Amino acid sequence: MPPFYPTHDFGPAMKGMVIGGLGILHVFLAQFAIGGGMLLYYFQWLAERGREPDARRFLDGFFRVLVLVSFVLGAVTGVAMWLTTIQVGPRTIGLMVDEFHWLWAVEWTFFGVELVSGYLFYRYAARLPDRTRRILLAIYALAAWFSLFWINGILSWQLTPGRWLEGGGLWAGFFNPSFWPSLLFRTVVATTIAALAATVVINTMAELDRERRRRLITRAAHLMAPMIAMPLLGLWFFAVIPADSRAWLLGGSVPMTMFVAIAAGASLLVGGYAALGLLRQKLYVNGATATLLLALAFGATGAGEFVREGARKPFTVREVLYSNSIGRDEVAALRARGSVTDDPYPLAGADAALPPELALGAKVFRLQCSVCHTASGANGLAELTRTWTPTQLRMNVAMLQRTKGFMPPFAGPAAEVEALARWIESLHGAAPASDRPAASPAELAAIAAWLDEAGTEPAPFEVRP
Amino acid sequence: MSEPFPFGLPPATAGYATLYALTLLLHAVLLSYVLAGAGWVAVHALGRAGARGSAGRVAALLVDWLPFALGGAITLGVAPLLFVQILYREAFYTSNLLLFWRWMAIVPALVAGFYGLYLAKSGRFPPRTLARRALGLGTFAAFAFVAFSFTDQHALALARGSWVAVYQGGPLSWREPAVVVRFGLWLAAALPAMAALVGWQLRAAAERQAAPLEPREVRGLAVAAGVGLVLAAALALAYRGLLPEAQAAALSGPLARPWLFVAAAGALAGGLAWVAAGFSGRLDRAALGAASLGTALAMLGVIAAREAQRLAVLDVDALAVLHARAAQAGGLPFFVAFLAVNTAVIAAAVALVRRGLRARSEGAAGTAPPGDAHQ
Ligand code: HEC
Ligand code: HEM
Repeated sequence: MPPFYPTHDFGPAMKGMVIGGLGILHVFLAQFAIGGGMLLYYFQWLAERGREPDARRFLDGFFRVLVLVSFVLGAVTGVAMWLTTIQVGPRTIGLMVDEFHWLWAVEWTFFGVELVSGYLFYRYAARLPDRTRRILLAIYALAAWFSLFWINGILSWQLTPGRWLEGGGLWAGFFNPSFWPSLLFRTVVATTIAALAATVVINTMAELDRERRRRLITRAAHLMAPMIAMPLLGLWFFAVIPADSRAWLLGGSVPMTMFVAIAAGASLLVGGYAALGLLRQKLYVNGATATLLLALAFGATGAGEFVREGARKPFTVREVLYSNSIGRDEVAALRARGSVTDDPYPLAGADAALPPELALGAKVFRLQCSVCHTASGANGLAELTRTWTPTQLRMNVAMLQRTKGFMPPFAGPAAEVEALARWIESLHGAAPASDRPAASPAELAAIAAWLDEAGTEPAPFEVRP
Repeated sequence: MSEPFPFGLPPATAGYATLYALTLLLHAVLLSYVLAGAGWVAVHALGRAGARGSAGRVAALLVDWLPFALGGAITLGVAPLLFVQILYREAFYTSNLLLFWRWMAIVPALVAGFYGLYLAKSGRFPPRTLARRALGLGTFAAFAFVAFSFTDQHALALARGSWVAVYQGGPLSWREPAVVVRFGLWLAAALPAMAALVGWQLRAAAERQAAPLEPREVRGLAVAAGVGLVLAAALALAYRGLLPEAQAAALSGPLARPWLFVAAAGALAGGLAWVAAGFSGRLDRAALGAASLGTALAMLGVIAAREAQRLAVLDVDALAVLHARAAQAGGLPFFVAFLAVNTAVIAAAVALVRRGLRARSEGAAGTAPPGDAHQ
């Protein structure tokens, strides 16, 4: 059995929300850095060919922004992602590290190239000949994009491990079914964000008159042209993800469907604006609009990340490890042994004072449910079950994967279901549980029968909504 | 295990541990530059030295290069962060989780420190103003906090007996006196490493500016390095005295002992080189080379002994099984290949820029003082 880890109580917020916020910021900044590299290369090329007299002036200003914002925050939030991922699920990150550490190490060598080439440009570009500048920017842009290339394989593997599941090995996992659509999609997002950020920066260049700024903006907008491919890439992505995830995203779950809609809607607005401008060639995007578009892109990125996180449920590594860090192949053993029997961590905080029979339930909640639910806050169990009868509650918990296909199977014996149910009932403000008689053998036998009926496997694909 | 680290460890364990130690050494060198460098800049801003004078040139160099060094320290921290997870898993993760927000606070601290360095470099705050002094101190404090957090986290990872209590008591309930001493040891050891790196930069700057090193400059660095070495040695002894029996014993055991000799020899050689430089007021290639090599050996020795201490506490046999399993993951040849290619790319980029700068300065002889930041 794997080790038990201490679990945090985030009060009314779920763990996923904590990592969500940081993750979105990081992804946004990292994509800005990647697209920024390409944009800079393009402007350097324009400058060199004499096609755009102000290209060089813009370039030096924009690079400063890229360094100050994305170099700094991007790198630090990247490290923060590691640390936060550990906070949310050490077993998930552990499994990923075990499988992919050499590829992560490869990615790290690209970080080095990114750092050095970027800093060289930052420090010396003003005194370098054009050709050197362009080569440096090419190195920088390529290294940045390759860091996306490597991490994308690892992240997309979580959702669609593909032939890796059948023992296909590292590369089968890396070049998994959603590898290419997500890589291309993220690349398009990256150039779009960079173009929007560039538009914001161009608007701050007061030394240029409006016409010259407009010309620069039109140039920057060229990097939004790939957005045309977004709907196709989106469809491709939806086509390769598991059927149940797809169903869940497209109507099966209200919040998830909402996030998909936000991501698509915001992208459509940004893309529509860009298309209009590119077609009319007369586009002038002022600072406020550019900032608004950038905010929309941020919203789309955020919604997209929620979709990516959410689509994996009930797994964190598809078909292998559940969101609550219980291995698919461990459920049966935990049913026999008890999921928290060996958990060395006592309840902390207010829960430490719970009477024993409720304490067991609270511990089961902490281990098996708290990654997706709170007691009574976001996705709170108290609210979700308020109208249920005692029997309904026990049956639905025992048959968790049938209650909702995006929940894992319950991983404990009947006594733990009973304890969990009593703890949930205590959240409803029911009579103190100690006043009630212990569950009879017949009641426990009924729960055991439900557990057996639901089995220890996840809901079959067609049942996961 | 009767051989020095990493020999005698099971093969997979030894492999990962070696990579971990080597990449941690790189991290340690740059974090020393950041830590001691930010400290130097802070002290300099407090003093009356102002912008001129010998200490001024060192401080100016540091202000100029610290942002990049921090980027380097962070990037070079990523590799050991990867290997430490493979090696020590449960212990590393658990201490991360137990310290939670106290541990995660290193993220805002790093951001604050990063912008602090850029602000200092931008020259927005004139020397000797209160704002400049506060900036210097605040920036140093941010990095000191990060360093302390790593030490603290490391100590908790080894203190399995305290885990349940810390879980119940919360992140602030973890207080271990030995951590403070160990943190002091890192701070002190940062000085000679920083001094060696700055020594090379100073020599290059002196050559570029055709303004030879002044004896005062050399002595300043030598004193900093010497004080750091002596303090580090004293704190190392104090630290050993504070350790639980098993860990102290591990430091005298076969795994660690040879490395501690290496560390002592390196420190001694480095110390002597600095003494020579300090008295002569000259920093020639040989002395600086000896000081650098000595410091590197001292750090490597300490890092190896540090692992011996950790391995004495953890269940090596159980871990070795997991390491062997992890070693079956593919991709190692790709890492080796990309490490070589990308190191070459980095070297080529640097060479390219050098050539570009030279071409320019030959073209427009004498304009734009070389070596100054484009800022
Ligand atoms: C992988 C994440 C995940 C895990 C783990 C999880 N749940 Fe859920 N659960 C959900 C989601 C998402 C919903 C849907 C909420 C909604 O419809 O608003 C849900 C719904 C529920 C509902 C309401 C079902 C209904 O039909 O309205 C109950 C009860 C519930 N969960 C109990 C539990 C219990 C008890 C556990 C732990 C043993 C658990 N869940 C573990 C994600 C999870
Ligand atoms: C200025 C910033 C930083 C400073 C001053 C710093 C300082 C330190 C110190 C002093 C140690 C040794 C701790 C000990 O042995 O007691 C250490 C270890 C380490 N650092 Fe850093 N660090 C910094 C940033 C980072 C970052 C951003 C990362 C991650 C990318 C990182 C990764 C590591 C790792 C993995 C270890 C080894 C931890 C272990 O073995 O338990 N460091 N750091």
